[in-house]
Amino acid sequence: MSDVYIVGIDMSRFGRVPDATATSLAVEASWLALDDAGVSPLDLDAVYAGNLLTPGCYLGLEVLRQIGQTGIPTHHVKNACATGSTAIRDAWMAIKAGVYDLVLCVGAEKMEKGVIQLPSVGMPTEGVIGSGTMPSVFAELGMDHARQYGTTFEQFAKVAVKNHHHATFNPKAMYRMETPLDEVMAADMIAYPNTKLMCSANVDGAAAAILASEARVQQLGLMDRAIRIRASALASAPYAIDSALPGVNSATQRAAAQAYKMAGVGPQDLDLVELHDCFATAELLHYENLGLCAAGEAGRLIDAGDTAMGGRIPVNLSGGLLSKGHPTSATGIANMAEIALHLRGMAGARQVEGARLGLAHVVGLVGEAGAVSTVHILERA
Amino acid sequence: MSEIFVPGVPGLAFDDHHMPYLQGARCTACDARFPSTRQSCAACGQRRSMEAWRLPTEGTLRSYSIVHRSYPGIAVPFVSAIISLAGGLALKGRLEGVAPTPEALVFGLPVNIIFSPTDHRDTQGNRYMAYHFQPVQSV
Repeated sequence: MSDVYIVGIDMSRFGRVPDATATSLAVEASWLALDDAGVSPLDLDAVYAGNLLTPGCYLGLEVLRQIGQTGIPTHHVKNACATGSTAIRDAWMAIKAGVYDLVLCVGAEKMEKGVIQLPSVGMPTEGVIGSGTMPSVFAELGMDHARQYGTTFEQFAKVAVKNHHHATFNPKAMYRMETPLDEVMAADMIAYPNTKLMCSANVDGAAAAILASEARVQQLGLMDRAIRIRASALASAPYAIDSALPGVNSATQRAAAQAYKMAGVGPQDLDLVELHDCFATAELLHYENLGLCAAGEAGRLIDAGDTAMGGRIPVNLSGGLLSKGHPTSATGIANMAEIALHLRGMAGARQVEGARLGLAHVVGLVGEAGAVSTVHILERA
Repeated sequence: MSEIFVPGVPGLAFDDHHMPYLQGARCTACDARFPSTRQSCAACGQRRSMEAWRLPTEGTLRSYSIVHRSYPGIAVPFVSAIISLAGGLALKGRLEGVAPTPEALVFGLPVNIIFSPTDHRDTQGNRYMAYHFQPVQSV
């Protein structure tokens, strides 16, 4: 089966864009990705598109209406916060299968500020059966780690200090400001131990990628700028008796194990990681879930600066979801855009020198219904 | 006429004496446990293997969050707790009777599951019954 490559990838500048729609942002990102690859909408064989929050939006059709209605198939993908990365995986599978050779993947979101409120059926349970808000759920997952390993509020807060620092080097990030540790810990408490500066920013944004089969990359003469998808893995959380704590860890561990096996590499081979820091508490859990350190060692890893710019294995150099922003359906593609920048040596001041292999991770959580995770390993071709 | 209560959360049921309890499910094929009913077993895939199972009424504090920002109209702060029940099952609920501070919230704290009517009513005007957690009182 053909290897699959990313030949163009980019994102809109994440932030609040009052006049934009999910579609207009998706069109902007799609053109950026098409131009990055130097191909035309007329060359595309299919579109994989994802959007969660705009009611009635069929993003793939909407995008084609704006860039070229060539009659190609549209696939609409929905997988919580892993929507964008699942679009990439579905396109990867179709190219592997030989069905398509050149595909546009795009995710876009137009978001409200503040805590995302999920609709309830029957009795409203918020505040009665504990809390179902995302900051609370990820706080509970973090405190479960604290119970087992003694992880501290300060260690969780250091994630926000690091990722906000990284974002100061990323012109496409929403927040570009230093946030010292005392400021992070003294910020408005949302759900202990997550303060406001430890919660991802709901922003408007889109990201898009052009995927191609090996034959198409050769034909287009794009191998010198291509990114090889060494692994594309997707898992849902398996049954667990303690599902009141959703299977964010188990889904990630499964996806990571699949991805490392598929790529034939291990965490020690990676040059950088973009992982799903929807909340500061989550980032430390994923150090262990992705095998960047042993179980219980995540607190020490952040203390030692190993995951900071210039460290042993830099994590979230883009600023992560905490500061780059988290437009849900775009996130999975935007994470890969950051990895691609480094693999191509185009990441500017935050460049990881000589980066060859990067990992992009996403979690999608749907309340009690469960959790999903994607892990992609990308390599400079 | 006594007031009619209806289950406000999945799994909440009433026994023959109208006393509320939490009814989970157990798989007769693989012994997997679930905190509420399932159509078939999510652990082993067996059909027609689910039987009702009454959850314990006490547990210990496994994890928590102190919620300072919730949906509009919900009083804060409050403690959203995850408790461990015998056998490893976890249950989420509101923990009352403990100050909402990290210092007061000690992992392993023994708690009871207490059933109480909520302020919410269904479309027929019946009050929803729910539960919360309370520390086990030492005598």
